[in-house]
Amino acid sequence: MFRKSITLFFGLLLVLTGGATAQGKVATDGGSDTVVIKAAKVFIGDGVALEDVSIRLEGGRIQAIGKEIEIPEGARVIEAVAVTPGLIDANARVDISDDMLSEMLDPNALLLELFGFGDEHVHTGEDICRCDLCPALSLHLDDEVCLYCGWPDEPQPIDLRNPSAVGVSTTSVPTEQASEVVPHTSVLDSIDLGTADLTRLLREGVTTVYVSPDSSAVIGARGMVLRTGGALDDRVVVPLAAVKAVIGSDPFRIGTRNRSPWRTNVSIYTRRPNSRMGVGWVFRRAFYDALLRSTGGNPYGADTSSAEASTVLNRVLEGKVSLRVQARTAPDIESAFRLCGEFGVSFILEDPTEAYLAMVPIRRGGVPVVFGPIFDRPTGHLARTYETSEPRLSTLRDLVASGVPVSLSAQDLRGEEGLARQVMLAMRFGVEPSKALELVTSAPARLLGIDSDVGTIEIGKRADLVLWSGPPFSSTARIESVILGGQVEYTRKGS
Amino acid sequence: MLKILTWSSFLLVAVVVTASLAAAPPPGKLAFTNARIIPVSGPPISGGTILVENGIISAVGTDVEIPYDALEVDCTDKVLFPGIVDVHDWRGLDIRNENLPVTPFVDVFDAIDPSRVFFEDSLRNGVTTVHIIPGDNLVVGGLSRVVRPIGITPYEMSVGDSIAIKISTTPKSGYGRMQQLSELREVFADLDDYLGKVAEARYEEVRKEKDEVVDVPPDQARILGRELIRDEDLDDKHRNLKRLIDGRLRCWVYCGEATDVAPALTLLAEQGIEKNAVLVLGPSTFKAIEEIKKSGLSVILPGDLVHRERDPFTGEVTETFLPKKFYDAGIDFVLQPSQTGAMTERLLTYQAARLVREGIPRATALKAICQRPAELLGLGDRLGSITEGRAANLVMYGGDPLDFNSWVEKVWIDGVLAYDRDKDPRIQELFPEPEAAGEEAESKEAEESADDDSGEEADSDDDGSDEAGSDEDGR
Repeated sequence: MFRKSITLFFGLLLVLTGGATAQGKVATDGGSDTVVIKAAKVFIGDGVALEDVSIRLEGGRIQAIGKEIEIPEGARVIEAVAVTPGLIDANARVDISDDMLSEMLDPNALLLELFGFGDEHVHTGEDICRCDLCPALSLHLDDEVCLYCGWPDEPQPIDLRNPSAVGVSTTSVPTEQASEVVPHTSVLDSIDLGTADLTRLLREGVTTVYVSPDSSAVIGARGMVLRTGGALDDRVVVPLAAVKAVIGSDPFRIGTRNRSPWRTNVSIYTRRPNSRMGVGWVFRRAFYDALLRSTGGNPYGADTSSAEASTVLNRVLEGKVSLRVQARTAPDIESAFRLCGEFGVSFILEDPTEAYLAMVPIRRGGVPVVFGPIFDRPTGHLARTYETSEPRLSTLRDLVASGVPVSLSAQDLRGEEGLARQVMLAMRFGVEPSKALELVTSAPARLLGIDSDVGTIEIGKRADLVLWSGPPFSSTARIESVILGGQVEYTRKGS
Repeated sequence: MLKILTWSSFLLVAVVVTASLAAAPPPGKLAFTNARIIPVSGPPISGGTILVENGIISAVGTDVEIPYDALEVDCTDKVLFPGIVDVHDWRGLDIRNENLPVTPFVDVFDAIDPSRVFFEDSLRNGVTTVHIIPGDNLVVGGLSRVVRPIGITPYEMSVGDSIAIKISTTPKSGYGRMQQLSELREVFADLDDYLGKVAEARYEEVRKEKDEVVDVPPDQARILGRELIRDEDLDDKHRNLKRLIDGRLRCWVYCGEATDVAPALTLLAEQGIEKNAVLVLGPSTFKAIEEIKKSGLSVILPGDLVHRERDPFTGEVTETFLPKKFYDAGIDFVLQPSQTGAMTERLLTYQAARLVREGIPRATALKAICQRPAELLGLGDRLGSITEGRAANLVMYGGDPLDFNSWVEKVWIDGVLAYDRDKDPRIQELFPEPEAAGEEAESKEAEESADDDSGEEADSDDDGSDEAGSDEDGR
């Protein structure tokens, strides 16, 4: 906090003096890679907005900000209505298969189609829920609203062939399924740095992403921080970041060898755990194993985690590797605090959809939170847990007000539901505009430990910028260009 | 528990809505003063007044004299916008399509369920008129109906009689294009045959009534008797189809793909009903934009305004923003809300904002969600703009309707207050007011300690690349 204020202070000092001092020596190549942006408004990313200023970018860094800065000969001058820092998604689920347009068949939908059930059967849910064919059969009781198709409250269809619509992305980085405890594996070994999804994120203004594995294992792989553009060998920012753990129903609900909706009995062919109790036990057992190994012991028994996993978990226990815990419903959030408390591990809370019901532990624990996407359906049936039927629209506002460090993520949503639009929603649902920008710039940068490099527009930081045609994040404004490392990586066609 | 809450809040809404309808008859005269008025039919008016008499707008402007007996509604700092028209929606029904492919004998009126959350949500989003029509998975659909999202029976909700019948040249699920089109042709061939038989019978009947002998052979009686056919001579199926080809019902043609446009235009020409036709388009139909332009038909764009396509050879993905294509081609279009997308796309004001974002004039965007759809329904003289003589369907926004931060605050339908955000139990539950100031001060303290925590957290993340990564931490 203090360090940041100092940087900002000097940054502003330079602005006020119209200073044009370059930090360090940078090869300028005769000014050919110099870009000067003349902006009517610059949102620094820390709650401050400057008017009518120019920004000079050189050697991939921001070299000067001021009203009358020197414009070298041959520099490319771009005019912009508004400029913000490049956006950062702290919990992105990146489509590594580069397959976002091909028809992705949910196995449940495939099954229904094999049985000859058309969309209208699936969508109304009426036949399905009652005749044991609703994919959500195992998830809801007779007298409840079906959380999969919303029947009977919501005749709204869910496109089963669009997995993101039902919350299970089949294309994001899959977690290794060899065991429930795999913190020694890494997204790094799985990611395709050239995937078209990164380009898409870039076009939507997102310049840095934390790539998270999916949520099918109790203690899953380690995520990584990536730039969405630039040379392929320059995209990795943090190769091995936090370990992802999941407290909730995902580990026994999704994954390749989990119980299928049509095969309800647990057998030797299905993975463990099969309940929240099991998830809690796997989580605990993994840390017990790690502790035992660290004291020279040798854990034994059926569900022993591997020695490699224990090595990483011991780093987590020492506080040298951070832990992210995905917990969506209120009881899961409580469990996350309890389980991590047992081992004295601090963590980052991911995707707490029902945080409004667990404000007390969150506030008391003071953990950083990565919230989002914002569930805006008035009835909430599409909340991706399938388990919460009424996520509050005020949750993000209340999290921000509670004072814990909050970042906003769009996860696997793109386009009109992507990160920029999440900020728009955040503002509609009560977050102050200046604060809303922080949720996708400086806050996630601090969370990911890359705030000395990106997250705000300050002299010396990486030149990752988004140029807007109007007030950033407003419904009538679009992204004109995205600048990554001083290079214009995307310009909207026709502008 | 949650479910009980949902239902009780729903009932509350229903009570609020119906109470306002039943208990409070429209005040004789209403004057909305000091408002920023966006009439849509003309330029915006600042500090304007709208005078409403018996549910009809009687005067709009800055120098309107307010009658002494008018109830004044002060709209300082507020924006008044015409009630939005949702021009194409199946929601409000129990299912979108019947199983049978050809169902001109059914009427959505029988299935409109006033208690659907959809109607409540429409009102909340400023929609005052909904055209309910079967979904797109059909060959020939049933009768549609225009309703207001208030009232406790379909009778109360209805605005006039049936408007349209939908046909589709895009295959119904399980059908191929050949079967779809042959069945569609069969429908009209069967209608012609049936009408011929009825005409023959009617001709004989009329001759008999006049005590004349039938003097023409049957094939001629089939032609001569056509004009003698009355609606009551026909069965439900053929009566509605006859109303369609007579031009008494509009023909809404669903074309899901570009290739479905040409057969649709051919069919309309064969039946001579182009004048009453509207094209309901799918995302890829912009590829048939020349044909559509030549036909001169009005079009309804799909809720998903962006068409994405991957080039099969290069793998490159192209995105096309449909309204821009249609605007550039000079084709008049109407927007519909997305039915599966995010909340953003389900708001027609947001759909219009997307048009402005892509450089389409604001006036065109606004017209595409109220004035044009009203005209498309044949209700242009009653709905769709704030103009003298139109129904007093007014939406009060806190700011510019296209700004996503503006909320619908109040809605009047036919001069009756139908929605008040302050009394909306669902909003109060899902989006409650922030906590009191005292508690905020407490949380400020928490913020400081939390910030310290986050510093540690970030640092630990910094060092987070352990033995495997520490030496090759490429940052």
